[in-house]
Amino acid sequence: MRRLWLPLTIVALSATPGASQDEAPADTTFTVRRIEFGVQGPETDTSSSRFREYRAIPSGFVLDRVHFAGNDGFRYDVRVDRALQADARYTARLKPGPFQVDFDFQKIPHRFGNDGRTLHEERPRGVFVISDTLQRANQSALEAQRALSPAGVNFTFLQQLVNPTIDAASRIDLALMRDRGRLELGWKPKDKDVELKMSYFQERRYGNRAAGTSFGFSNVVESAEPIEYRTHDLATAGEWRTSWGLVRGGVRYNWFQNAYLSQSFDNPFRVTDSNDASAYTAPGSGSINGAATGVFSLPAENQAVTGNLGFVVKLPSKTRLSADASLGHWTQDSPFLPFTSNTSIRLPDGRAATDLASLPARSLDAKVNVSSLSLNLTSKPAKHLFLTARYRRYDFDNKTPRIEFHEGYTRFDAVWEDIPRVSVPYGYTTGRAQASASYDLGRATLEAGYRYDTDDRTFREVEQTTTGTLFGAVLLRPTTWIVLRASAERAARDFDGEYHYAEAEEASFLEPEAPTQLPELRRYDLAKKDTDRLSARLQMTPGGNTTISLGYSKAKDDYKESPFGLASGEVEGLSADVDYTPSERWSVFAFAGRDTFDSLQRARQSGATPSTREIDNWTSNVTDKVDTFGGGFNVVVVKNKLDVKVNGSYQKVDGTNALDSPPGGTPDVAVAIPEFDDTKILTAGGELSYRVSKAVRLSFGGWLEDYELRDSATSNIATYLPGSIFLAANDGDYRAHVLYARLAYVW
Amino acid sequence: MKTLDRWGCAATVAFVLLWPSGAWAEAEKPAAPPPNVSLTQCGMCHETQINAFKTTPHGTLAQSCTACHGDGTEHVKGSIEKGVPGPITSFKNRKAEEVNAACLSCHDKGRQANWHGGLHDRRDVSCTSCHSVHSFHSARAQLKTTNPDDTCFTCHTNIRNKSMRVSHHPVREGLMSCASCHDPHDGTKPKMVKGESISETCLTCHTEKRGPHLWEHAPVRENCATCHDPHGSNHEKLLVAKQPYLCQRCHLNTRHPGTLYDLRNTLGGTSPSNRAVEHACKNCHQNVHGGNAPSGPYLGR
Repeated sequence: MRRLWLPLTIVALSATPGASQDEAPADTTFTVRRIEFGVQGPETDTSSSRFREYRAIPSGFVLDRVHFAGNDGFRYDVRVDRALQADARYTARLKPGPFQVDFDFQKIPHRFGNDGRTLHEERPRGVFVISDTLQRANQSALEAQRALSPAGVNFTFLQQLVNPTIDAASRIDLALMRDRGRLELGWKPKDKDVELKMSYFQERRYGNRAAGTSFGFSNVVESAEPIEYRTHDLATAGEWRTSWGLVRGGVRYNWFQNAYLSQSFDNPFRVTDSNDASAYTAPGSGSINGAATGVFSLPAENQAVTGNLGFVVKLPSKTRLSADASLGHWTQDSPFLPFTSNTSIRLPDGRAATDLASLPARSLDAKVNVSSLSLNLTSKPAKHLFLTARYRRYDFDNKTPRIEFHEGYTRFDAVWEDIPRVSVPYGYTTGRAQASASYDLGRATLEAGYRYDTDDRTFREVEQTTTGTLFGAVLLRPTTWIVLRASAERAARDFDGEYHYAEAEEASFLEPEAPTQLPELRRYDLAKKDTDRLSARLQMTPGGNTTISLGYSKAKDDYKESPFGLASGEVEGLSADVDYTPSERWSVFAFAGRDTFDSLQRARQSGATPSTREIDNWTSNVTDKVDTFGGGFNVVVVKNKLDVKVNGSYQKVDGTNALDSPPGGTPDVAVAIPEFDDTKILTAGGELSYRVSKAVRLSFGGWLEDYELRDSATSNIATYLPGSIFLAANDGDYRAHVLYARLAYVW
Repeated sequence: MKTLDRWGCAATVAFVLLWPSGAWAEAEKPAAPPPNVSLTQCGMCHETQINAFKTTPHGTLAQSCTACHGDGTEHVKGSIEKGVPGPITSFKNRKAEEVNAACLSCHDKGRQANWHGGLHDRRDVSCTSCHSVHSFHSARAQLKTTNPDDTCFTCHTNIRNKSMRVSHHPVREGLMSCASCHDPHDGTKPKMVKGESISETCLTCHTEKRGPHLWEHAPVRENCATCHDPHGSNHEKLLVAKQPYLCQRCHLNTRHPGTLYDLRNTLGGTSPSNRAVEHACKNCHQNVHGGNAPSGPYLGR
């Protein structure tokens, strides 16, 4: 008997089934083994970042795809796309028994511009320096010119001063990369109505992007903002299903980390700190003072924890009631920067503005409670009648304490502004109640409904806006191969009482003076507005091998009670899609669309006080006309042997800004802008695919792209313009083509 | 040691007796009756469909084809005896409600449990409008198109056109998809987004903008879509309008905010202005989403 249990246990273990409970029946076993690799050669005619904005497209050998999947033992699916490239993706899904493991790692590049020119050198990370020698030379030149003639400190003078240095400046590419990884574990036992999941996600984002670092109105020195972010997300969720419905819930903790909470950047025109009342206009005839170095805050670290709970209940008459609630708590407590880096600036009481001790607080201790509630009721009380009712409420309760800066603050690190300010913790609550009924008449279904929205806001011009929306839809099915869906809605947003523009502006001032905002301006996110929307889509599938889809949509927002601000916005679109697949041997598709965007805004130019003169008015009417075409075909030239596919697309956007102003005022004249983010994008490609054997397929193909941007404000921007030194990184026109050869091997 | 021997024997006996119904094994429920027509039999005529079907979780179902198509006895009998397939449940030309009822008989869970009453449900979209059980082309979710977004673009052609614009999320590059932000099954959230609000959905990836900030920009706090069009735009950073005009829809304060900037102030104009060119307002007001610097009430620090 002694130790007999031990060999008996071993025998028992070896006799029992393995861990996999999901071993598939023999006739559903499958395996997939596929690898695709090849060579490719891209060619571009410019250094524009746009071609590779979100793509790698390397030259040479590429491992395009690896795919392993099967269910021998347990179910698994492993994929690799674009291995080792800057846009690679690796995913795996394993399902051993009741467990499921999902892994996903993805790289997403984002290239903003190449070959920018910068006077700065980043030394160390987040610190952008210009040599003291250069700063001293420029400051001395400015002092000499100002002593000679202040009016001589103008663009021509500055351009001559700066251009030689810019010509010799180092180059910089602006780009960032996201590395995103997720691991999810699930437990979903067969024949058990419960499911649990846990997941962890992390994203590292690194690189740089253009930052408008400025020393004032006449001294923008664009630099490259350092990016080294990490976002973590830890979540757990569960669901329990019963005969009467289900219960679900979960908790999530998300936190954002930033390795650099600030960025410092040298002033090309100052080597020493100084200040005067007009220093924020330097360098110019008014002043040549200011800070030698500016400091700028980067995104603060923050955290959010959220819990949610919900249920679905099934009731008689195909009635369902669902309710979901969530509660969240957001926090942010990153340390403040000092008022300024300019050592010459002092608070009115003499304290150094560079000293953290001069601040009224060292951090914000921000906190927000976020909650949401969603109730949904659907029912089919009669055979052809379907009813829905919904209620939703979202509350952003900002509990962040208000920080009062009684002494004021510094402006662009150039001068102390003796204007006491206080922070404003905006909050809001949105509510929605909606009910609709639809009736099925057989070949037609009609729906009508009403939706009521309320938006409550703190510290804004209006405390509450309400929007009532009447909507309807019709679905026609005259035959089995024709479907027409059309819907329309009419909404009106309104508010009671006055529009408190002054109070809203004064909210951030401890000692408010006369408001500077134009009193008749109505901000479009809460102004009174009428909205009309119409959309229709006709889909036909005659013969079963053809699909024709025609679509029309129109949406118009009319801010009829807004004398100034956005007056109207309209979007209209027309589209046609055709897909014809007469046989397994060939198919062809084509699509076309015309979209028009039109917006009108009214404004008034003011001097030191808000103008009351109508001749100071101006309007901007922006129109974008977008034409989109595309199409292609696939042909099986030799069945199971040779395929050809060709496709292409073209989009042209023609934007204009028609500006107008009555003569005699300020502005006296308004000159329209004809090239307003005009673009053309053409893509065309083809592939010939030859099946060498059951396991091997060779493909030869390529594509070309042609991108063109014409914009009066950004195209071919110079590095130095009045008041600004830009990086002028290249994200403009390009023409590129890529040729490739691929081999796919399946076993 | 004798105690260990006794406990060891007891444990072994318990293990052998309890397995496969042991505590760590799956609880046994009464086995489903075997299908009246097996997968192999269906595959004799429907080889293409079965080859695809059996690679999916559907293929491992005890009832396999008959789980959805019902009793196939007469269908097979007709083919064999008369050369004409007998009747069987087909989902072609069925109303969306009937198709969806079949799918939801198993898939009424997770976010699909929120399908009822959502806009897709009310517009008569059926599960098979987007998905195919045995003729799918996508790598995940068994969609009818190879590229998942083409499924959405079948109806949302205006969004397809927007996604082709110069400023866009990397959807057409395949690094994101419509499903990165939307859940087409869940009609309880605004615009069918995955987050509790549109802004929370954006903050899933743009967490650096969550704040809260010392100096807030009110419309940013409330809704990212006030200024951005996430589907695509011709203006930089997915903005709904070009700066400075976008900003001037709300800021017509004295001096430079309300000033007209026209062609003369652009590149090549007689007096180019840094308030009109390149990033316009954002050349100075860099922290437009909110900032944490004490000297940044105008979001310039």
